[in-house]
Amino acid sequence: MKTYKSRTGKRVLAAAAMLSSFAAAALAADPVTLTVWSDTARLSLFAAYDDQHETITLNVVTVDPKDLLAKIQLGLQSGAEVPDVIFMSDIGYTSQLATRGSNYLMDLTGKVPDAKLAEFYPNANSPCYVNGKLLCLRNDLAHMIVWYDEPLMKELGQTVPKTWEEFAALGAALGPKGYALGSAVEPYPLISYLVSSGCELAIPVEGATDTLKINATSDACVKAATMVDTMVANGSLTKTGPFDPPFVALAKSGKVPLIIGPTWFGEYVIKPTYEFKPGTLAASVPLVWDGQAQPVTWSWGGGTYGGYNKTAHPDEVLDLIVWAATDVSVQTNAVTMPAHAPSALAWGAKLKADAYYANAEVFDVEVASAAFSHPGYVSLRIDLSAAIAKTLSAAISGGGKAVDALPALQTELTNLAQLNKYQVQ
Amino acid sequence: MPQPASPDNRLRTKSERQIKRRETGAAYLFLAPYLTLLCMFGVFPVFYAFGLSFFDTIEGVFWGVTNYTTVLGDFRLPRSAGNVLLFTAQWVTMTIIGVSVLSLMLDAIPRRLATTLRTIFFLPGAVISSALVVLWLFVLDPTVSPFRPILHLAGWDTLQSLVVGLGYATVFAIMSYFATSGGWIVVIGGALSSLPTEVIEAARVDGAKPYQIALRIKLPMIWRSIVLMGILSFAAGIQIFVEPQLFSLAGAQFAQPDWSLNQLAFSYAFQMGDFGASAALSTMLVMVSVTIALVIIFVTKFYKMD
Repeated sequence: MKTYKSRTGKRVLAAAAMLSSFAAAALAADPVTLTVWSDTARLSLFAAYDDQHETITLNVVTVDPKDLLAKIQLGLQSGAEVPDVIFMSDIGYTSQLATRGSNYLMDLTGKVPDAKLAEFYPNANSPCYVNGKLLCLRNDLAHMIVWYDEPLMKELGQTVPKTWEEFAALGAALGPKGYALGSAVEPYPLISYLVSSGCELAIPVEGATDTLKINATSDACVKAATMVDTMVANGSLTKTGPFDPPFVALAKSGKVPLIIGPTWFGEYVIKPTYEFKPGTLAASVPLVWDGQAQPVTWSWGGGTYGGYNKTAHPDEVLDLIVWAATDVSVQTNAVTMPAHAPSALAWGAKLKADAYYANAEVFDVEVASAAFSHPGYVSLRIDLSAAIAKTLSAAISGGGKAVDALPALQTELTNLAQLNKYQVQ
Repeated sequence: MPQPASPDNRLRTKSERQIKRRETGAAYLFLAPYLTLLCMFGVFPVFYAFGLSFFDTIEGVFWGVTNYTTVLGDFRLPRSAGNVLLFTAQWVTMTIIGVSVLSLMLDAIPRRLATTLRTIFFLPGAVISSALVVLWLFVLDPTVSPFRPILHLAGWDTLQSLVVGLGYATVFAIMSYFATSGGWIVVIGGALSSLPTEVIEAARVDGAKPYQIALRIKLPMIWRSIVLMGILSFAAGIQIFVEPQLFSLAGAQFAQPDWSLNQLAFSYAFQMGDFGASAALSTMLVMVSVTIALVIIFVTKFYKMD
């Protein structure tokens, strides 16, 4: 009896052990489904992740980038389906999804290995830090560089400017002849002209929560605004936007020898819309003001990846976000310059080989300029470009001066900041 | 001899009551689908918003009038209210005068021609407002518009100069006028066609000219329809949303994300995530519309039979 019992008992124990090990193995490989809200350009990236990971299924929903914020607000309010991972095309979404009312984003501080973070370009992740917490990872860079038509500049007998003063002089020389060097009313280029001189439009204060320094009437701002006014007066900066029919017509007829634009401008605006001829387009590093040690350049765009802080699968979400932003093989085929340096170098090989550009240095310029990204290009709950459009753009297009509109900009920014519960200094 | 019907309005016999009940029942049955949808999508949201406006929508705590003070303390509120009032004043005036004049003129010309013209006027109203805005952005841009000569004559060579010259309120009023006037012309045309012909004949016999008939006879007889048009246009006007919201399609320098009150309510909910403030502003807008409608109805004794 005793022997039978112990033998049966051993068999039962053995069976139980085997079953539990099977169960543990099954649990470890439990299929995980993540809901991802993406835009159309990132679909192939998420498909690649899905293929590479058998236990993880991605349920990818394509969402219009402009509607993303509203849909998430609605989802959080109504308790309906909220995605686990999102691609945010507007850097402002990060801070708007980290408020008391819309507490969506997962805190990634300390969860991403420092080594990985160090592989990003300087200040690439500055839009992802909100009150000291890392809430997203940057996908691509969009800093402003100087694009120019090499043969046209030679034909006009002009050298590519290296300083803002030279840029203004170029405008004074070419403006009266009917050439344009950019738009004076499009908000992002306007912001880049202003902040390059050290103008603090809405810069977060280090160490203080939800505090902004807003000083739109400082000497630095006045200096830059005066330059814009002078160039509008001589016609080198237009009162129409860079995507408006009059400006496009100018560009197509070879009247835009130089324009300050983001890194994606070459491929997505100059090539298809302005139709510069192949072999003519080159780039140069951002401009400095006389007396500045190095340039500082604003950005126009750049997407980020974020995760849901109440997701059922936080580890998988973190893994996906880090992979999407830093996987070299997938970022090589990205549509715009990756923010992750090793990925960007792999991506740049294609750009160097592209015969459309005048020389192979365009990518080197983009890499070198990445170091000059303004640390104040952060995620804010206020819409800086809308405030600029309402005050400066409206003034310039109405025939007024940008300098005179700076106090109105100061008031608008201060009011907006206070409305969105910022402290203003 | 069959029993005559009761001399007064009371229903004396059982069969009369049964018939009346069946008729009323049938009427309610026909109204039921519309009433259901009205309650679900019209009445319930108003009460839901009213209730929500007193709560802290994040923690579900009763907050009293905090949402209302947030909205009233918004620095953009006076500006948006001014914009909306300016737009509404221009649009309602244009609608009342334009629609009345066109309807009266259409009533005075041969019926076939009038019907054709009325259909043509109605066509813009058949296009949804968001598509109309895109169309207008094209029509108003002097660089691509088919009406280039007229715009150049006024001295506008870019969309910018047109907007600066006219002002956003007038531009939106023009857009809205052409979108909605067609429908109202049909409605007022219906009111005009139901006027008793004897009175008009008598006036014509007395030697009244067509414009005198229109202004002195027809217009006073259709005043109720015109007042109705005014009330509904006013209510729609203060809720303007699509036109300013979509104007950014013309370019980032035209973006007006907080021009109108409804846009403010939208941005509270979907940018700041503050559904309570959004509900508060929406409730205030509804209250204003309802109050003004009630005032007009009672002052003009709208429902009094004359």
